[in-house]
Amino acid sequence: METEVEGLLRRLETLRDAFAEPPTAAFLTKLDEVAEFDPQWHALASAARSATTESLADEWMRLFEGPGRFPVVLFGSYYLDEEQLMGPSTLGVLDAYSRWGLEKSESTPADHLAYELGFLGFLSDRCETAESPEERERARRERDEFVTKYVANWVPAVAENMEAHSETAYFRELARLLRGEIAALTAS
Amino acid sequence: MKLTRRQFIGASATAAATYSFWGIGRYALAQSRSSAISDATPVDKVLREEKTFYTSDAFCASECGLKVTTLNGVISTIYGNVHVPYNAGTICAKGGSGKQVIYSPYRLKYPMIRVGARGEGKFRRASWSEAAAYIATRLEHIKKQYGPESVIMDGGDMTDQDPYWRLFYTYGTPNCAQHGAICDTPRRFGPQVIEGGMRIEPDLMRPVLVRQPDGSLKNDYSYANKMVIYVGWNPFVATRINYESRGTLAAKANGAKIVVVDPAFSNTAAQADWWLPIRPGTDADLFAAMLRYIISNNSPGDPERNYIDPTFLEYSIGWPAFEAAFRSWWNKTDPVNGLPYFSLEWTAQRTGLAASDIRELAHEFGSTKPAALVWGMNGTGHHFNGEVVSTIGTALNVITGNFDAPGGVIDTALVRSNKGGNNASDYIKANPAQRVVNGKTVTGTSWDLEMDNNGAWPAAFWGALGAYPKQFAEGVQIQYGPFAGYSYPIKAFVVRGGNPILSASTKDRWSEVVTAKDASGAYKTELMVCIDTAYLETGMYADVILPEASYFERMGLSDIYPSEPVMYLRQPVVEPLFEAKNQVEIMNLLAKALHDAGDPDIQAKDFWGKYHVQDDFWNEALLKAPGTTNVGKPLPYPHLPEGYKLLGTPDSLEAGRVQIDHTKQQVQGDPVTVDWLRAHNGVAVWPMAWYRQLAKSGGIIATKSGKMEFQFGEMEKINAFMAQSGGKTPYMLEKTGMSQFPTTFFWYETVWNPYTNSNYAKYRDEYPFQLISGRIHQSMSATQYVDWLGRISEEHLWMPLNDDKTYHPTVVDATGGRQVAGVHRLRAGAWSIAVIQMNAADGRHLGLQTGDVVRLRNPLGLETRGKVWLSELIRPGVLRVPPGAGNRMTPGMGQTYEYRNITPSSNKLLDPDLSSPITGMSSYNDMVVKVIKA
Ligand code: SF4
Repeated sequence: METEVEGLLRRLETLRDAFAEPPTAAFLTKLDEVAEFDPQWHALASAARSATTESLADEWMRLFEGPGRFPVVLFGSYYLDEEQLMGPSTLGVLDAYSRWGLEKSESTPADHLAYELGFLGFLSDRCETAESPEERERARRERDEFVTKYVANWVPAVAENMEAHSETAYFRELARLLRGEIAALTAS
Repeated sequence: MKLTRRQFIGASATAAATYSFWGIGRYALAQSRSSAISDATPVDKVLREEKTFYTSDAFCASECGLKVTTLNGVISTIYGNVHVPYNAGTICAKGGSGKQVIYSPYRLKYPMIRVGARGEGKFRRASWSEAAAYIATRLEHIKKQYGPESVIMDGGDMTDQDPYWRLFYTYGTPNCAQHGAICDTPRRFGPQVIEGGMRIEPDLMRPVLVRQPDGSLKNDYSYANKMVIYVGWNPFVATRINYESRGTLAAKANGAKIVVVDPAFSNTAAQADWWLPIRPGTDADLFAAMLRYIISNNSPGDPERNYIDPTFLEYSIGWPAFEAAFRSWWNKTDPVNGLPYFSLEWTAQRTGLAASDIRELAHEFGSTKPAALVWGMNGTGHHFNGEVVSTIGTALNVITGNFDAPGGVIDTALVRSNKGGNNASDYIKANPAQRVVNGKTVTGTSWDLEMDNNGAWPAAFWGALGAYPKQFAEGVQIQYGPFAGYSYPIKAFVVRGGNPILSASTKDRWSEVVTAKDASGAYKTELMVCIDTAYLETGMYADVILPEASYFERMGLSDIYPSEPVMYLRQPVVEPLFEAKNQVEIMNLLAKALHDAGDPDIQAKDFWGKYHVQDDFWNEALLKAPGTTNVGKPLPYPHLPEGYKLLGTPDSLEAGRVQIDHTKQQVQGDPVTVDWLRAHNGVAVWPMAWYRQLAKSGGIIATKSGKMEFQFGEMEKINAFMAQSGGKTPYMLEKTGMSQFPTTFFWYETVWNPYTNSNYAKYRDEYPFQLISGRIHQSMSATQYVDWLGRISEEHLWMPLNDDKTYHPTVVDATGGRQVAGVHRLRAGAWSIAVIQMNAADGRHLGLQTGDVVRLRNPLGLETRGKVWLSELIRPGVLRVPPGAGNRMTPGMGQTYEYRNITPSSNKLLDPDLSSPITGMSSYNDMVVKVIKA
């Protein structure tokens, strides 16, 4: 049986990969596997199956990358710091990563949704697996604070915009799953 | 195969000992090598790090010196660098808003490859190696199939294009162009042929470093100017020669008289003592009248009319012939108004100015010393006959003794530091080439295949970009030189940091040629590449887009329009975001890909084996700095031989820490380096001097004869070159009635001007308005980058006439706690847009009110639409719009695009078949229109 935290990590990982780059064939295979275990993801996997990787990549570019302007920005500071990258909130996120000894791997601002989902995975893991109760408590506090300060206040807007601007079921479904996961983390 | 949940998790985590997905894959968060920061970490480790960098702007061609502060690797403040005399600590609103460019979420992030049709704007993400291989494969195919000359490299709007030129020259194409070709080449023509320079500016840069009588060097803040005349030049609002904005006011406060000649009451005019609202396209008429008046009324014994300073005869040649050619027009009668050329009455008729004002202007300019006559980019450089203007203008400054006089004019191109580097232009000029011409094998150099100078534009420089669409459509016909008779197609266009599809010629013409297909359905121009930080119109037509590091993330050298040699560093202030790369990295990457694709001309030793980091490239460029000669009054370095070429840092030259080579007449101090600049507030400043053209030992004049040439040696050379190949007259020159390039005083009329050119007189009634453009520094492409600059209104050209609009559906409320995924609302009147400035009386006559939408239609049937702004501040019969600010097609980063259907584009109405006959510049400001209420 998958434990609760394993399920959470699996969902966060899949979401992170879904927002990291235009859907690749490898990712879509993995998505099928996820959907095997989790009925919540059936709709996304079947939306992916009924589209081509090219059409999903097209839609990805139109929604998230452009070029030029596009309707859904995946960086927190855009929402929290006057529509710009690398705002004070980005530095806050970076500080949070370094408090846990983590470094980002690319020259992309630290508050990209994919990084934040990865970090939430890391903290969720620490909440359960850190050796000392203090450390587990520290991770829990960090996660609550991180969700409140840097996630819950903008990620639902991403989901909403995706739903408003997507022309494919895949990205609307992805938005729904993202919203659900963040809502659950916020509630916890 | 079906997995269990456990197996699935295990399979996902193959790279990690435990299930830690965050540490692997894209967007991995890995355990840092430095230890984690915690509450127990010493306070000095967690404090944020603040750094200061001296660098230079590249948000406009002025390239002001900047002082930028970063906090934890993020830009926090942008100020001017007080040590750079060009801007002396000042910057404009645009410069101060650079964060909005680099930190825009809409900047280009990854290499991309086109998936839709050209112009459609549909791309997919690609890796650098895939994009580089894509480009290299096609370039190699083109090279083999058509020859490397079929590739054009346009280095764009910034002066740090050398790495790209180096790559493409070495690849073998002689066709490397730059944005200057569509900036103001006609304005530079006169200075170029007469003194070998380009850019005449008033002596207003302060402070300048001046050698004192006691031998010390001191910053001089004084202004010697008594009169500055700006003709079609608006330094307060158009492209900034930054010191002109503050210097003009300082000189005025010091008693100088400021005159502005412009159809519109510009911001510069608002600060002037005298505004002359001239009819568009008649600057040459005014200058010719001034010259005639000065020559006719010069009286050396009369202090009131001692206009001409005969000293110029000592350092010039050909004046008597020039004067005679000029005088030969005086008795001719103009077919349009029946009056003798250049007389006060003739000029008054054509310019719409009072004859008494013209006389007074000529007299005051002639009798006031020092005085400066300065002509501008839009006002003169963008007219078909801008070459006539700049030639007479240069002559006026020279004969009145104002050239390089304190308070007079300085040709900044002649006195600036050299940053020549090694862009491989020497290589391409010597590289042997063979082509079969009319069945015979001919040998020459790659340079002999250069498309403009050996083709339809023998006297153009930097590429006749405005005429490129014709060459894309018809191919290049080599008419002169060893390969005369050879032709080749344009097969690739690589554009970096410019936007020629919007700005050179008309967008429609460009779109036509770059989307043209052959019978098999393939694009005739096989490869279009765009290298930039922002996505502009040219990018829409690219096959490959490469994200270039922004000007805060890359290196370069700046030395724009100075009065004394100055060199300052553009240095990376922050790491490039996303996958953007600097020019040297892109050069090396493309070079390696070409090498791998089998290009024998591209070798490691010239690229990646030589320039390991960008410092290497720019250090090589700095070896030539300053490269000026030790001349003028006061002598910059009295302890060094006069007339010798100076190389090296200011401190080593000052200390005499030099090697003197008497054979080469050269003084070599410690070479200037990137590190030296970093250690010296980012800038090297060498001493100022005046009268640098007088030095017997070799002054600053850069003509072949070493003298001011009123008999244009450069043009004689080109004529002789053409004659060797049969002397066919270039097609555009032919339109002026000249069969050869002028070698002394010359005259031709501008186009589409019913008031001065009899060919167009018939349009006068039906098309009663002359359409001109007025540059607005913070609009044009800038509002495509910087949203908030759009809110600043300017000069009745860029005004808050926006419609109520909702946009950007991604906004949270002010608390940041609740999502308002609704819409951002822009109320009418909250944001400025490009408008059509119209005289209020004209508006009343047409029954128009400010804000009414109209269509402008020209005799070619081309149209644009926009809202009118009725204004008292423009000459009746003239309409003015800001260039590049309306009818945009790429969304850009601001709101300009939202208003594309109600904003005008003057470029849409230019005549794409006409370019200035000598330099090939688009005639942006020559058109007549009628106004149709929409
Ligand atoms: S004038 Fe140009 S270079 Fe100078 S600060 Fe303004 S935008 Fe930057």
